[in-house]
Amino acid sequence: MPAVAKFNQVTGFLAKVETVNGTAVTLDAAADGMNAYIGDGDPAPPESLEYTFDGSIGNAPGTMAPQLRTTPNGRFRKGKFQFLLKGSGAEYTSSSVVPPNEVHRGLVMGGYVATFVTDHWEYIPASHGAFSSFTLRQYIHGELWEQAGVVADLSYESSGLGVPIWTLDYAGNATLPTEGALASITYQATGVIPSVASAIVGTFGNFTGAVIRKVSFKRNRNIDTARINQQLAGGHAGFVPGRTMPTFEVEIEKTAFTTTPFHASSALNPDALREAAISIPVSFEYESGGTYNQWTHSFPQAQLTNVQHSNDGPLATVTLSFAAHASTPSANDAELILVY
Amino acid sequence: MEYVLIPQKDGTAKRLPIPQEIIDATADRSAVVAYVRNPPKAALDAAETVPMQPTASQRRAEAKKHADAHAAADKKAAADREAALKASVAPYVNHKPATTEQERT
Repeated sequence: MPAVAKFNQVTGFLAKVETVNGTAVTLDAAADGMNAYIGDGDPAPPESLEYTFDGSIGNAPGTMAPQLRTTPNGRFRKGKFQFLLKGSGAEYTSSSVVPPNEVHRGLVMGGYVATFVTDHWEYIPASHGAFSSFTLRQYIHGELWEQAGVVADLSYESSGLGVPIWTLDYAGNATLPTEGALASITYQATGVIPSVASAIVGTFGNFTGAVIRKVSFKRNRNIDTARINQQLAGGHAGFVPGRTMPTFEVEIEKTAFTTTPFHASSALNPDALREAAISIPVSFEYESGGTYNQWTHSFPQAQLTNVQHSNDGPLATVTLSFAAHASTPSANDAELILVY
Repeated sequence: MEYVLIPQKDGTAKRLPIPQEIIDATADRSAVVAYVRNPPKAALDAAETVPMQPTASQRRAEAKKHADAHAAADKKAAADREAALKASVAPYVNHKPATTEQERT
């Protein structure tokens, strides 16, 4: 019986922003480690390579059976990187103190720009057209999966009372996998434990007294547009991110209704609020991690776009979908993430 | 992309972009701190002028102030509603039902 050649047991990620979009930069296991959340089970296997053109040249005219294929063209790979958002654990005295890579770089990969402000980091949506791309390496199955020009969509879910799990759904150019053992990766802030979904501060306009059961966020960033270039060997010049539609989906216990403006400190009238198209600020603060390990995610302006009535056994609940919007047609202020 | 907000004397701030090569220059990011402390004049002049953003503690204090104000307004509205309700039912409170034929007529 031959020994097992490869295991699905350990994994690791490195990622670094590219100076020139799509041009791979050198990765360093000591400086570019991104601490992945893999849950309780085994890591997920590597996502497959995909091709813009699959190589099919149609059917044989004499038999209608498929013809011998040509080489597939336009190689890319889509994948998923999950992480837990946490702070640096150290006082943010200057721009030299940053949250760990998976947070600081992860949010930039998800389409934000990072700004150091006095005593915290702010992440706001990148200006249209000014996106950052990443070189990424995944170690899995004793193999190296290398990618360049990686951009991502971002989401997270905070269900029940656990730790919110953030997800980067990424896409980028890829090379064929090579053999390679997991490197000794240095991660940052390993002693810092992320905030759990407990004692969070949820605000929906004036409505601050909600009994919150679940919060999920989807940025809905379009990263599907591939740059096809017939002059390029391989033909695929990476992905171009486009529009976003940031959305919170929040499940709360139902409250007594309230009259106009339909959101009071301990009461909400969701269907009336939706029909009136009233814009309110919506934000969530996760502070249980302690000093220098807290974060806030807010939509300074948001409208209720869907009201789904639900229940948990005998308990009446409602799931609210809030969509962020910019304050003016030109203001880049639909979203704000603070890490402090 | 990374920026640092540099406060200006007029209450605004300059949103100074940090070149990637500066971020990559030193593992401890000391080059970033040095760059921010003494940025090239051309880069600072070209940086976008934005309102100075509040600190994290200022943001939380402001949010708490708003929440407290809304809670107080809600409390007053609830008290007003209760008072109005009490006033509307006052004629019937402690009202003795008629017990005899004479009283009923």
